[in-house]
Amino acid sequence: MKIKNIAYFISEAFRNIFSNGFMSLTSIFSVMISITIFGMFVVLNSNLDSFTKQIQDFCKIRVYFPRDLNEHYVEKAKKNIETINKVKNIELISKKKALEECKEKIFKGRYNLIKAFEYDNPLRDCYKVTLTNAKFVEEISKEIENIENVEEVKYEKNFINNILKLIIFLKYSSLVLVIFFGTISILIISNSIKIMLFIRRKEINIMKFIGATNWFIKWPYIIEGAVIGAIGSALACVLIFFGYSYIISHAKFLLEFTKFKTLNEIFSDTFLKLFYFGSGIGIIGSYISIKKYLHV
Amino acid sequence: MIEFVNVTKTYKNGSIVAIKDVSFTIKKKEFVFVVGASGAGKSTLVKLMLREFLPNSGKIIIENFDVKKMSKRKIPFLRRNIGVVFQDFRLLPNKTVFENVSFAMEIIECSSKQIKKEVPKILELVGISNKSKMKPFELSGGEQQRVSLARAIVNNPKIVIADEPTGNLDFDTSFEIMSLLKQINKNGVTVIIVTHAQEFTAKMKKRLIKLENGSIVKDEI
Repeated sequence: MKIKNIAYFISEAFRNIFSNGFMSLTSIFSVMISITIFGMFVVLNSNLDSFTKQIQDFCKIRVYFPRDLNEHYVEKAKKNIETINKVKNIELISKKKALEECKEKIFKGRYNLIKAFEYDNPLRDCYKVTLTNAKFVEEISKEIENIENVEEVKYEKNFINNILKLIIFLKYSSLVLVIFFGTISILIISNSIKIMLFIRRKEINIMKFIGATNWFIKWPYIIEGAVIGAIGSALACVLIFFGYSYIISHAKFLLEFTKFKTLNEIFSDTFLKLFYFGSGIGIIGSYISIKKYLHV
Repeated sequence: MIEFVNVTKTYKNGSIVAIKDVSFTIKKKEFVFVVGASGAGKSTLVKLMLREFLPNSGKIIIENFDVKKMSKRKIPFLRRNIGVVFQDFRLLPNKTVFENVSFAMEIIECSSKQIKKEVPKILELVGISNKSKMKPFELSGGEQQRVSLARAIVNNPKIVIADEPTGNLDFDTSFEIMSLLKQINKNGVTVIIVTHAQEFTAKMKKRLIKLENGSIVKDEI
């Protein structure tokens, strides 16, 4: 392709956009709305990813041993747990340490209430096991139960399961939304290109008779679709940017549950994707119309 | 050179026969009238030459292209050999005279230098250079046809096909357009004029192919 041609295609594309300003605006606006909604889910999704990582750490299996078990056996059990796949970290909370924590946290200032426990500690040695992936919590806790000397295995079963289910649900529903709003944007763009082709049908007809190649006729419309998609998605990014910064500065209470991704992180991993996505569906949309209505 | 060999074209699954077993050859630099009443198959003939569609049977050779065998991708390059003039001019209303002609050069990817050099020459040739900045609606029918003629020849085609070029024009203007076409022919271009107007064909003493119900009934000078 010659550089002169590229300049021609781009100027034709913009001529199309401006000569039907109202229709171009409507398309840009509709693309903006669908990409904004879609983008909100992408942002939510990328926050869910970091949220899931935080859940991993939260999701600890506690492994208890009999009260009077010798330290040696506790140590041996640790080695067995280490051999299990997907175990990330094992932390020992000895019964002594557990009692200290109890004193600090629960019986502060009323220490005499549990003074007797120092001679006969009712607590048990415990391992806190962190997993590489919270999904396997049930399976692994069953494995640990079978290890010698392990008395009891505990984890927040319902809580973790529900959160995991919620995350999976949100992920799938955002996938559905991606497809849904992607399709809508493609249809909108393809429709506006279709109208453009209709308005320009005489000109296209003449071009064909003079001997313009098919791609020479097609390029301006493809660029037009890409430009509409790109502007629409850029505007969507602006909306999301302000929306997101509003939320993270006003919804501090959520920070107690999870860390939000910073605007910088969102910018680098979401906005570029949205922009490419917008331009991409613009190209697909115009290509569909060209294929269908431009009989070259 | 244009060669039709036993060409048949039907529409609607064969129920309408537009052209039936037509054969003829038009040599380089010839000047030919194709005449016939409406429905005789003239337009089908033009459309076959421009490869708007394919014949049902027969062979069509235009310059070095075997129209039936060539790939679709090559259609534009076939058409670059043929300049077409229509009865309704088919000018772009929002472009000036100059732009309407330069447009033809742009889309076959000529340089702007070439365009600046060629377009004024062609406008001069068809006698409309003083109106190059006007839009088509500011021109008379004859002037519009001159622009459309300029557009047809600006890319130096080997063949010019004029489909009822004088259909919308009065006698004097038609005569001028015909003289222009004759001059173009003198410059070495094959000219084919499709018309039902008989008043020029007799006067100009050129080859005449007459179609009736899709068949050639007369082919003589």
